[in-house]
Amino acid sequence: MRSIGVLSALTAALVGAAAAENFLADDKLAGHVEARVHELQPTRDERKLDLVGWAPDILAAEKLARTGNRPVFLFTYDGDIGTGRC
Amino acid sequence: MSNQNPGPFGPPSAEARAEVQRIYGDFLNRKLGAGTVHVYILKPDGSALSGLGPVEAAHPDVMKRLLMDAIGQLGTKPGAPTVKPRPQSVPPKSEGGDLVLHLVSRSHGGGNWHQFPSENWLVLSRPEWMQLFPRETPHAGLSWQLDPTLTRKLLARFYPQTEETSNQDRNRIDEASLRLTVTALGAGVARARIEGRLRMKHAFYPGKDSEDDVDATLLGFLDFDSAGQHIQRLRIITDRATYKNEAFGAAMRSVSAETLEALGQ
Repeated sequence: MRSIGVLSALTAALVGAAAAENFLADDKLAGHVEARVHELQPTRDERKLDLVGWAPDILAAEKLARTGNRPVFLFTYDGDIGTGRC
Repeated sequence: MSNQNPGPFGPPSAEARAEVQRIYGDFLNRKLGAGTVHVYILKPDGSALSGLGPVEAAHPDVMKRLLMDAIGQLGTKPGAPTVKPRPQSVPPKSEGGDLVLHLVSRSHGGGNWHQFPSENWLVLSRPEWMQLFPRETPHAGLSWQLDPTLTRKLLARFYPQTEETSNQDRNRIDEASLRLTVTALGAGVARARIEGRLRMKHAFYPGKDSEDDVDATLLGFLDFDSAGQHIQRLRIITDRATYKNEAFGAAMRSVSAETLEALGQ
């Protein structure tokens, strides 16, 4: 009896969840748009800049360079590298 | 470090800006080359070692040679990164009821400016995204025009990679419209097709009054609950788009709470 009770509660919970959030299947429009969204996303190659650990500012970079005996790579630019608009 | 924008770590301090000026002067004095857009390699003590201008630095072989030469001269030992890598494009802070949107835009032309897509994030407050819904119960064929202010906000970054030295909206909108039409209904949910048009001037460089025009038709869809309390998916893409007569593509998508959580927001 206990297992039936648990099953009933679980079923009720699942039905409740389904009622709370139904979804429409992708039709021709949604499929086309989603494919184009996917196609335009940055590729893994285009995300390689994210593999570089950038210091918060030049002072922090110089401190790390002194303590770790490493050179500093400083790139100055116009615009915003985070948005790719630079 | 951007010469204008604060970047992901916030604005640099006065001391940091002064230090960059010192480095710039050090490179000039040693005749190693310098510029506002430039790669500088410093020795561990902060003094000038070598550098590259942006045109040369864009060539991987040239950049690799510069770095290998620096390692050779300094005797740098291999090791783990001293700073943990993190994504450059991250969603801004948002509240629980906000709608977070992500936009990718890329020119289909070639050249240095187009090697990476641009990415922008947009956060709509609940009162803003509620304006996406129709004013009556959704039924097949129901159609409505989106509010002009919200339309402008949604389409403000629908242009390819350009130089942006601030977050200022530099657009001169000639035409911006988004029309939604209900095309599908389900149990408590609806889908509206989005069609739109955008014609605007956006100068490639800020402060230059050039007639650089965006001309785009837009397509997308909005999946929402019929009671108008929740957005499941918002997608807007350029159907056909040109900037300065060159083709580009842009795609905006709503980002789920789960995705934002995975991104650490």
